[in-house]
Amino acid sequence: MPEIQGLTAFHKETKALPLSSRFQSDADFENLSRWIDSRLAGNDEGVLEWHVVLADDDASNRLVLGSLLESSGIAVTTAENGRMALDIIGAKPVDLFLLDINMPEMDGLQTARAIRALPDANADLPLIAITSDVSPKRLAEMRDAGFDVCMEKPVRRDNLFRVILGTLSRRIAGLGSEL
Amino acid sequence: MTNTSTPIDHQILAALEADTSRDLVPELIQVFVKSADNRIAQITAHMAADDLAGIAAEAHALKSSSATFGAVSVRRLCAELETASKNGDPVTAERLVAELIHALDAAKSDLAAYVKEISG
Repeated sequence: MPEIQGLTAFHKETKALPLSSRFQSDADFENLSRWIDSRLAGNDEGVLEWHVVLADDDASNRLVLGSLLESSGIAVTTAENGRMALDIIGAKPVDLFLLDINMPEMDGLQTARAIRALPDANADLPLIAITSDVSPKRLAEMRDAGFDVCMEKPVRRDNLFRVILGTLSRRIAGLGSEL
Repeated sequence: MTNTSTPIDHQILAALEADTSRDLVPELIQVFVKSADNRIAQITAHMAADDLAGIAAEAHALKSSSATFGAVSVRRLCAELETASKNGDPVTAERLVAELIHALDAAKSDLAAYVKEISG
């Protein structure tokens, strides 16, 4: 874990709390550029498309977060619950998940556990929790379920991107020999 | 009571506008208001049916979206209502539901004024 002083400052600035060692609070641009190269390598058009799956049962939250991402050129698929979010994995490659916790049918904790239990590389996808409940009990549940980082609502665009880049920076480590 | 604080934190609304666009904010607010009205209707129905677990779930959802739109009083009351419902305290829950309805009305008026201001 990062030293606590730095962590507090990071949380103060971004309202984000790291939950796993996959997350790093500052983007590692060397790793990021390797990740981008690896994505472009299999892409004939040379266009980098990031695909984020966003699950939240509230329409206004989906609309706000979806707009923050789409206005920056990130492709977003929205889902109303965890079950729908999981179904997207098979249909199109996913780069990361933004998951609300309280959702009907399949909540964010169940969804995170289901993703971490997948039999393929998708089990290592970055998982960002977006919630209004950051009680110690809930944070422990999110960490145990496999989330990498938790962001407290309301989420600012610059903070969201800082967290996304930090999360993707570590993604490269999990890709290993594919590169 | 809720009238000690303003219904809407305009700094959060301004941040939302900066992060999305001025053109989009009225639509975002409209979707929020519709969803909040729906949550309140659900909460009222759960109250009539003594379904405290149902109230807690709806209060949590409304707490989350009201945070995004700067509806600070609504958010605070939803948090209190969620706790009271989880604690199995129908008397406190009933009082908070009444306060919540007033707080949402105030928030909606404030949001409507904001939409009028930025659309004008």
